[in-house]
Amino acid sequence: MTLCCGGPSKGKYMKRTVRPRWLAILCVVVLGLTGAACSSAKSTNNKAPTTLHTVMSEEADDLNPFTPTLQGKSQILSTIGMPMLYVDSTSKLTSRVLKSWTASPDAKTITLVLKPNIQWSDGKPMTSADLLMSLTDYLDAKVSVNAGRIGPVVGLDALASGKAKTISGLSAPDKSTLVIKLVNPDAAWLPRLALLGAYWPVLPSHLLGNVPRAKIATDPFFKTWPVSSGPYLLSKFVRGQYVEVTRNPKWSAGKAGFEKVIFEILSTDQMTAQLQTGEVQYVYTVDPSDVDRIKRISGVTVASHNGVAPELFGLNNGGSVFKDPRVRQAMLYAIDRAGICKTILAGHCTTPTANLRQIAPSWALPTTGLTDYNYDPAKAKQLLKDANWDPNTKLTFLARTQRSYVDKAVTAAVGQLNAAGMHFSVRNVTTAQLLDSIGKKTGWDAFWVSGADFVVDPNEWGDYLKCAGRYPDGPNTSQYCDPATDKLFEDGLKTTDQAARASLYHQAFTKLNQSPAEVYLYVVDTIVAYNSHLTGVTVSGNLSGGYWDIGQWRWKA
Amino acid sequence: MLGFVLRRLIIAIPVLLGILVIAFVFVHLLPGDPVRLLVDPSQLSGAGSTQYLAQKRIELGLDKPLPVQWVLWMREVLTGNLGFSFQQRVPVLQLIQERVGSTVLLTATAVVLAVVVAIPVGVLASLKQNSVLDYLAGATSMLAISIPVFFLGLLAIYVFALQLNVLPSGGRQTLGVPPTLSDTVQHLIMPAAVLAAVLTGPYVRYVRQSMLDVLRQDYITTAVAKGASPFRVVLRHALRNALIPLTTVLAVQIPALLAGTVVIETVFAWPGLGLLVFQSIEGLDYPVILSVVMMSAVLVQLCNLVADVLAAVLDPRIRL
Repeated sequence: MTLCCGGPSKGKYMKRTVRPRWLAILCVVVLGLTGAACSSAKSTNNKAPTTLHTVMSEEADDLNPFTPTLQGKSQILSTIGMPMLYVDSTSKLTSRVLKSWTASPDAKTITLVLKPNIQWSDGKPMTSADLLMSLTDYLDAKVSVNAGRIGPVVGLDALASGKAKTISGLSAPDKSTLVIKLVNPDAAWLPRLALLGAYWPVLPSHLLGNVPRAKIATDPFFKTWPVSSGPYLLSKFVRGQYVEVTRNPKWSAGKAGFEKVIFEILSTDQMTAQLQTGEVQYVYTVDPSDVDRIKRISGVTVASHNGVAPELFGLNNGGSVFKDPRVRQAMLYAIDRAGICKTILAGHCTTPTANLRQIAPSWALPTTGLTDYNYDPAKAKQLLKDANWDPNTKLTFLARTQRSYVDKAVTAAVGQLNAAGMHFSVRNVTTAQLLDSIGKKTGWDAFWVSGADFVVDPNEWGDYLKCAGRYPDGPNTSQYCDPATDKLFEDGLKTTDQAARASLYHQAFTKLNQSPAEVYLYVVDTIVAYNSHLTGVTVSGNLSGGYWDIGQWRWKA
Repeated sequence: MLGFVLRRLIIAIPVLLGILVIAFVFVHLLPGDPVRLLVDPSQLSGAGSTQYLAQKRIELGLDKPLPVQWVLWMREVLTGNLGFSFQQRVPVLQLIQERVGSTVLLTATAVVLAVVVAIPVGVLASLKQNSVLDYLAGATSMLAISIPVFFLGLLAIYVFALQLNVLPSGGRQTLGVPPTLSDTVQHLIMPAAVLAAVLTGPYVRYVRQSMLDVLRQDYITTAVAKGASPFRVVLRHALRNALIPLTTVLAVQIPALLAGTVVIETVFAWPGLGLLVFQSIEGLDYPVILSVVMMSAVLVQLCNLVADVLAAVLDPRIRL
C-alpha cells in the first residue's frame, strides 16, 4: 500500500486533495465574515455619552423588594425607586423624599414628614398614603423577608394573627405625615430604616393599594416597575445578563445625567478588560488586589471609601474550645492582621486593632481602656499556655472559595494560628455546607465571613451577638451569648439621649474588647473605578449604596 | 431503520426514568438546606424569619417525604412543567429558554468550526504521514488539548480586544442598542473560536488515525486499482468510513458541551446554560439541576441514536 507513504502516486494524490473547491470557498466565507466583523468592532466601542455602562457587584435575581435581597437588587432598586431614608457617603441619614424624620425622646414614636411636590413617574403626587402602604407591606412577615429586621410596631401582632387588616400603630394624620408607634423604645429604628432603605423603596399606593396583601409579593408590578420615583425608570430586565434603565423625566430631585444606564455582571477579568476597551464606564466594586492594575489604565479613575464592616473569622462559641477568653485573645495576637492588610490587600483597608466590629459612629466608641491586639506571636503562645491549651487539639476551619485576596488572607491567618499552636485544618465547603454546619453547631470551629454595616448606629453589632439571635434563629453565626452584653445593647435602645447611649455602648464594647466574640481581620475599603469623563461620583462605604447618588452623575466630554 | 429507531426510543424510556430517579436522590443528598440558602444570615431576625422560611418550605414542596416529592415532580414534568426555580423564582422552563439559545449558538458554531478545520487537517496529516505537515498538525493538536481553555480565552481577549481592539471582549451583544447580526457575529467570534480550538485538537487526531486505518484497507487498494481518481478515493471511499468514529465522538460530546461550557461562558461573559448549571448547583436549586440533567439525558439518547443512524448511512455494511 503506497497511497500515503511515498511512491509515485503520493504527489499526485496530494496535489488533488489539497485544493478541494469547497475548502477554498469555505475559507473565503470565514475570512470574509471575520473581516467584516473586525472592521466594525471599533465602532461598537464608541459608546454614545448618553448611555452609561456599569458593572454591578452582584446579580439582581429579581426586582421584588419582598423576596430575599442581594446587593445587586438593592443597587437597582435604589436607582429606580426612592427609599424613605438612606445612608449617604458619610454614613449620615438622609432622604430625597422626606423633609424631616424624628424620634420622640422616649424612642417610642417616629414621625416622618414628606417633602412637598414629590411625584411619581406618572405625575401623581407621593403622599403619606404611599408611605403607610409601603411600611404596612414591608413590616408584614408573611409578605416581606426583611420584616423582622426592624423593631415591632404597635398592632403588628394583630395583623400577623389575622385579627386586623391594618397596623394600628401606623397612621397618616395628613397627606404628608406618617406617625409610627413602636411597641418598645427603639432609638435605632430610624437608622435601621435607613439601612433597609435601599431594599425598601416607597411603593405607589394608587397602583398597589387595592392588591390583597397575600398577593402583593407576586404582583406583576414588580416585574416591570411601570411607575417609580427614582432618577431612572426600569426599561429592561434580562435575567442573568443585564438591567437597563432610562431617565425619569419627572424625577423630583432634578434631571438625571444619562438617557440610559446599563448594569451588567462581569467577572474580574472581563470587568478590567471592558474598562480598558471603553465598553463599560463604571465598575462597582474593585478588589484591592486589582487596584494597581486598574490604575495603570489611562483615562480611568479609581476612588475609594473606608469600608463599613470588618471581614472576620467567626468562632464556634457554642462549644468548649473557645470558652476561655485568653484563647480568643491569643488568636488576635497570633495573626498579623496589619501585615495582611498591608501586603495581601495592598493597604486598601484598615485594621481593627482593638477588635471591635463596630467602626463608627465615633460617639459610641470608647477612646480609653481598650486593649490593642497587635501582632505578638510570643504573647499568643503565652496566653495559650496560661489557658492550658492542649496543642494536640484538632480544629476545623470552614473555607469557601472567595475572591483571591480573601483566600490569601485566610491562608496566611490560618498558617499563623498553626504556628502559634492552634492547629486548624481547612475544609473547603460550599455556602450551603457552611450554613448547614453552622446550623448544626458541631463539626467546625471557625469560618470566614463578611458583610453588614457597622457605622450608622452602634446597636448594629448587638444584633449579631444576641443570645436569641444565634443562627439559625438569627444572624449570630458565632453562637456568642452573654446576657449581660445583651442587656447593655437593649438598654442602649431605650433612649434617644446620645450621652446616655454612649455610656452603655462604651461598657459593651469594652467588655467585647476584653472577651472577643470573633476575630476581626481587616476592614476592606469600598473601591470603584470609572471613566475619567464621569463626574459627580461620590463613593459610599455601604455595599448596598453603590448607586446611591447615580442621579447626580454627569458625562464631561 | 424505522423499527430500529422505534426500538431505541422505547428502550430510552426506562433508561431516562432510571437516570431521573438516581439524579433526584443524589441531588437531594447534596449537603445543605436550599431553604436556608435562600436567606442570608444577616437577614434573619428570629420569629419573623422562621415563619417566612417555614412558609417557603411548604411553598416549594420540601416539607413532603422524598418519594412524594419525586412523584409530584414527575407528574409536573410529564405535563411539560419543569417546576419553579428556588433561587430565581421563575419557571425553570423559562430560565432554560432564556439561556439555551446562547449556548446552542456558541456550541454549534464551535463544533462546526472545529469539524470544518479538523477534517481537512486530519485528512492531510494522514495522507502526508510523518511529514512536516503531519508533525505540525500533531503538535498543534496537542497544544490545543493541553492549554487550559480559560488561558486561551484570556489570551484571546488580551490580543484581540485589548491590544488590537478589533473584537469586543465579552458578552453576546452590545447592550443598549438594537441587536444586529453583525454585532452578534463580532461577539461570537472569540468564544466560538476558542472553544473550536479546544475541540479541534482531538478531532484532528481522530480523523487522522481513522483515515490511516481506512487507507490501509483492501477496498481502498481495490478502488485505486480500478482507476478511481485520487480525489474520489479519499473523499468517497476513505473519508466516508473514517468519519464514523468522529460522529460517535460528536454524539457523546454535544450534550456535554451544552451544559459544560461554563468556563468559556465565564471568561467571555457569555450568558448561557453552563453558568446557570453552576449557579444552580451552588444554590441547591433542585428543579433547575434536575431539569438540566433530564435535558442532557434526553440529548445523549437522541444524539447516540442519530450517531447510529448516521453510521449506517455512512457505512452501508452496518445494518440496523
